[in-house]
Amino acid sequence: MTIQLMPFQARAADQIAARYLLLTGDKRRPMEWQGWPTPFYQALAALTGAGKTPILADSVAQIRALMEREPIVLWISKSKAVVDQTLSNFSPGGKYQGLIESFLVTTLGEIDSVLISDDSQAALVLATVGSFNQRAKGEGSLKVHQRAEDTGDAALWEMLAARAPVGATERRPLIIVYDEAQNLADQQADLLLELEPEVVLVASATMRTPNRLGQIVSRLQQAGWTDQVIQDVPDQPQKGLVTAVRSGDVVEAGLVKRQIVLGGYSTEMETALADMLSDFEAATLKAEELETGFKPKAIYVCRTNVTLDDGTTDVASRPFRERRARPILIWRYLVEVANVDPAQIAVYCDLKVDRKAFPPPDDFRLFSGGEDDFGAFTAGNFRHIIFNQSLQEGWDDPECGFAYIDKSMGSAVQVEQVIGRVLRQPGARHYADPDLNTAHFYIRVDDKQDFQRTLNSVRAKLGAEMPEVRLEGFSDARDRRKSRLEPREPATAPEIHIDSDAAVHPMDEVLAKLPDYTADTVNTQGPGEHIQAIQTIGDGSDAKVVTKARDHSNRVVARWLIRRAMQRLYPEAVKTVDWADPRFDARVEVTSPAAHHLRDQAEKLVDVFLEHAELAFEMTNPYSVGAVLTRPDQLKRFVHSLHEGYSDISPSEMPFAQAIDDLGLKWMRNPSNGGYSIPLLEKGGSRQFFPDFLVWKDGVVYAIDPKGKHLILEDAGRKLLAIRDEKGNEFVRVRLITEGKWQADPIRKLAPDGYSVWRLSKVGKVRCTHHATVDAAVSNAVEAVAPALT
Amino acid sequence: MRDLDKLSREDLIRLLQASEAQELGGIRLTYPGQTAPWQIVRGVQPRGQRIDPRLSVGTEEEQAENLIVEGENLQAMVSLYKYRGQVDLVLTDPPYNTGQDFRYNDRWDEDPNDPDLGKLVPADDGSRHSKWLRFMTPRLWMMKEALRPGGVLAICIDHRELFRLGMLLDSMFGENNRIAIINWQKTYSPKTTNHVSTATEYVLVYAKDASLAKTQLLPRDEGMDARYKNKDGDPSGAWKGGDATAPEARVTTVFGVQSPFSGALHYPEGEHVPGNPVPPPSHHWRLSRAEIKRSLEACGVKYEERDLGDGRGKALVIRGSKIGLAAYKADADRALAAAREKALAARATKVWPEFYFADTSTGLVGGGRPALKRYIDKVAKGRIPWTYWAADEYRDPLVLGPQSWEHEESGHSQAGVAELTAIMGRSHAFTTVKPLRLFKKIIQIWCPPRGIVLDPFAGSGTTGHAVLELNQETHSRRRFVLIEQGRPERGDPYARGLTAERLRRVISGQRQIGKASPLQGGFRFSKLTAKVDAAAILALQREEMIDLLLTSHWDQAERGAAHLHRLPAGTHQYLFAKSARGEGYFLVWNGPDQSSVLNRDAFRMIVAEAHAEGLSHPFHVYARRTTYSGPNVEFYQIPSRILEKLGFNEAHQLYGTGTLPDPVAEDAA
Repeated sequence: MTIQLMPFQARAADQIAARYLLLTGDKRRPMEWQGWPTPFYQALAALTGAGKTPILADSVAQIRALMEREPIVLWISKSKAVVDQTLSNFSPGGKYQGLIESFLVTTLGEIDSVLISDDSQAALVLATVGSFNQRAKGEGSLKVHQRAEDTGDAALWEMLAARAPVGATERRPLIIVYDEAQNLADQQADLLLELEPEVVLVASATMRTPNRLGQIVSRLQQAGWTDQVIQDVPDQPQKGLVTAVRSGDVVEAGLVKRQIVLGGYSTEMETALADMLSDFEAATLKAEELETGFKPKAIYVCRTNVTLDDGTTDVASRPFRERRARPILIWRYLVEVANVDPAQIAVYCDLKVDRKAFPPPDDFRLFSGGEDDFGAFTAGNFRHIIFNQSLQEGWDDPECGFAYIDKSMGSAVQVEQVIGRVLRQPGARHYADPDLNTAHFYIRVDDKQDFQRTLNSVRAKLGAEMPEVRLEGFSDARDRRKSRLEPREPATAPEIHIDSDAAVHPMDEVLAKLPDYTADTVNTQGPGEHIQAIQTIGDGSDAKVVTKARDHSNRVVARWLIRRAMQRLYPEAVKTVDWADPRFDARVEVTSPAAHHLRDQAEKLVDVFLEHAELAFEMTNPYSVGAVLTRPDQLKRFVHSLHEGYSDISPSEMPFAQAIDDLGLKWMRNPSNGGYSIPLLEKGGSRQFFPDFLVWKDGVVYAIDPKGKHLILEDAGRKLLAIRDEKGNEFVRVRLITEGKWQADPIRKLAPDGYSVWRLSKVGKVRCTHHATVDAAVSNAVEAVAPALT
Repeated sequence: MRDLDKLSREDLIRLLQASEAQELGGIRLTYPGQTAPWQIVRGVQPRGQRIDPRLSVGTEEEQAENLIVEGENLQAMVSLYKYRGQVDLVLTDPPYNTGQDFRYNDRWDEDPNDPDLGKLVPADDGSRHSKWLRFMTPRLWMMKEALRPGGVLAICIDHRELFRLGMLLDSMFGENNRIAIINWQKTYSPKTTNHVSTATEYVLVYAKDASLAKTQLLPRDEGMDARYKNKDGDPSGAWKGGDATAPEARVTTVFGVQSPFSGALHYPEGEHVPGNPVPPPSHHWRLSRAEIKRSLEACGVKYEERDLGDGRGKALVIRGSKIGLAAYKADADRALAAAREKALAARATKVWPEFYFADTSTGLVGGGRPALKRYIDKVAKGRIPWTYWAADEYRDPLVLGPQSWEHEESGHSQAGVAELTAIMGRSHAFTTVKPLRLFKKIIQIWCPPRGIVLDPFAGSGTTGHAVLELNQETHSRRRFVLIEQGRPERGDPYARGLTAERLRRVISGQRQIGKASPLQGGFRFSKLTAKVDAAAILALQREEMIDLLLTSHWDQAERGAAHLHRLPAGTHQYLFAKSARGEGYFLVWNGPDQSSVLNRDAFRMIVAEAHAEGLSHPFHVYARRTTYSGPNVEFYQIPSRILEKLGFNEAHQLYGTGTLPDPVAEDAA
């Protein structure tokens, strides 16, 4: 697999596939009519940045492995630009190609009867809605509905509905995927259902199902399926119609930006642009310094052909320098004032120019062809993009972190729409500099009230969809500049590695007991027959049960099966296994007993890994403390902190911060995501622990977290307390603090008063000490050894 | 009749497909043994590459840019997984099926992995077209797979297979994506023949997606530029006169303008003849009233706005002029006389205004219609290519020695042969070499300045030569990937003896005939080895493993980027290469029998090596396992991540490690 799916992405895809199996194995699967069982329906609720496309692609691949013959997948998007982008991601060399490697990927315009009838080859066919959406197909002008003698006997749409493979009696299964389901109209749904699909997968940020599809949904609901969001336990699929991706997973995985900062400007355009470009330059330098491997990009959103001042139409038939259209004015500011290289600027909008009489400068890169220009535009990899709403869906470059919104755009709605474009995080990780984890907005408004309205509406939208993303607003540019605080002196802490040397042997022992399925023909097969109930709707008669022999589904290699299962549970564990063992070369059906056993073993391997892996600090791999973002009006200043102060300390944490500052030691408030992190050795993901405070004392870094209660109850949390190097040294000491009086063995709370500090004793046992005050707890926490028990 | 019950399911399907193909209807190319290309390609197994440093040319950085692969081209294209979807232009000259240039191996029908090139297919072979189509289909398919979404295929062909190749490409690429059938003149001296002397060949040009592909303009020729002059010393550069009007009426820009030279009143539609009615407006001025007025007054003449009753808004007339619609005696207009004097003086001494009055055809200065200046640096930068390319564009007089002219008489593509002869001497026995300028022109039109050109039938290496020369001439950084096998049975391994050797001489400037300056650049020469699977990878020695990594490694973000730069062997324990971005690549591998674990000790050594070399994060480490994962390390597990970079699908393909000793079992014992 070229792309390593995030555990939460793989879980979503697996859940969809498992639910498909649940429906096909259901004796009471309803029928639409004889010969067409009610399609499997699944809605994927995933927000921007969650990786909707790879999850759907992986779902399709997983479902294919469960099918008896090679399917055709019809993958529908609204616009050609999205189709082009998906095609290039799925094509050889594309970033998602590894997920759908068994499929031949093409577009609706290119398929023909040969491909449709070749059932030895799975096919994935991309199409825009527009290419088939037509009410009266008979007189239709669309190619897919026309009979074309040149290419075959029937219209493409009819051939697709028939899907008759050469030399077989049953038609090939059809999977329909729609990646913008909220846009699906009834007419489109009708046309798609004419194809009698076996599976319908839709993705949507909102969960409204179109009416016509609603009929399928209600039929499934009668059979016990529910549109409630359910999170399945692996291998125990529920009859759920919706698979939802938690926004928290998306943020934690580093797929979206950590925060959004809105700046309001009631000044002229030049001031806003100047501010943005200076921040942009600083971020570019930071990105380079931190070796992030990307350069930030900026977008400029404005209306196209109106003048800046009075909103009248700008005339194209005048010299370039005399034109007042906003894209031109912004371009000229960038080139003439800010000295941006014109080769880095694209103007992507339908700007009118008179190329004959008044050609724009040669290096003015205008893409006014809409969808037709999209390919050339994306290929240009521009760093400054001036556009209006016409910038295609599908363009959401993670490297884009800066947005200027012109006054001509008006309402807050525009800001909300633009946020989706800049929310993805480049490199899918958060960096040590907060500016690189932030979407920066520079919005020109009429006045401060206007800005407040915008801020409120964005806050409402974000709060509903992605509460984990922070939002800040500044109507004063000076505040904004002051919000970024560099450390007063450089400081580092050793990064934490996972040392799994001790896990190798125990894992090998688990593998040694792995049965060899390479020559096994019995256990590697799935159930041999499949049962269908045919229920006539509405007349109250009993379902007619039909049993028929089942062809065998596609087999997969055991190695892939185990690796995927481990990947989903704890990706690091995969790297400790030697995958060359020939027993992994067995081919099994995913529904077979062998597959079940192998998945169990995968879980066991992960358990063994987590049990034996330990955390180790690595002096040669230092983490450097970077700048923090604060709110100047809420800044709490400290004397000894690394930064001048912090504004994100909650009231319950404040006494700890004050107590730490009073110690007189160098310390900092550690920002979550992008800050200093320690891996949590727990199953089910790749979560990181971000300690609230770091304190430097005598060459040792103390990581103090006063919200330690949930951690101390988990194995993974207790492992945090034992971070050592190979010699047993401790240069990073995690101190968890819980409220109240506790005992360590067994762990339980004894009384509500005071605070308990948790650490590991010399002999490696968890112990806690009780302290009456925050100050006492904190000063004890930065001691190497606990005081004698009282 | 075949024994049907002995056939496998796949074979039966193929058979049925062949018979059903007729029933599928439509217009389609069918031929015996037709198999869908995706089915053939599925059966081709990727191979490894072994770099031959002695045949490679240039510094490590230069070598990392370009590649010559020795081997069978279908297998090579499957193995060049790094380039899948990355190539901008496939430019190639396949066998024309002349009876002397095309070989076919019958075993390919069963197993496309057979490396043998097969037997020459003679011109009287009754199956020659079927064989040629069976040969070309999977290769064209792989060329298409190699193209990026906006990529272009340009393939040379002559009359023998033109029709069949066109049909094949139409069905594979779609006829909407056919960009051109270029007809280029290969000779300028007709051969004696009973009928018609063949003077042209073809280049079929297809885009993977015509809506995404870009056809560049050809550079403007001198004739076009000659029409732009600078007779008035305009600081904005050379210009020529253009129409000052545009079709369609506008409210504000249809007014009359009086000429300071003739006194005549000009409307956008034409010059007004006193006494005639003014027609309803159908055209308008391209400039605004203010701009026109500024131009008119540039010579010092004062203009005023006056309503002449023409219903077109106030006209711009010379202040005090007696002009009227019904009658006007120009000779008696004193205001005009004064204005004419100023205008004529300015005409001779000053830079003309943007809106000016042309001379009449009889030479009367300023007596003609208004015109607009069009500056040369504001017009389109080139010519649109035509489908007919005449021979004089390819003749390269520079390298032709006096001896070469005999080729011209023999009627072959003389320039190409002469170019090759000049470099390699006369013994090359090539009679059909494509002229360099033909290939340079194609590359210029369809490969962007930093693009990649692939030629799977590289032959004498014209494509590589053209890329290197263009890079030099246009300061571009195009890169090439050439594949050639040659004819070993002739004792002529010509990927080495010809393709690589020609390019070596092109780069060094060495010539057999005439002189040439050296060209910048270099290339890596690698040979396709045996099939790679996990077992084969795990059996490699360290240096062999490095070869494989150098040729197969890619990052998704910049997949088609130049290869890694290799460091001299033995200088580091782990570090073996750097990327162009300055990131280090490390290999924990000392042969099949040694442990390969990225553990704490290995990590610290890697950090030390990275510091010593000043390398930036992250560290890219290849090893069989890691037990010390942490931030700033990109870990690639051997063999799975190597196989993945070769296009191996772990879900469906086996490692084939069954024959290896089982380390786990040994441990347990």
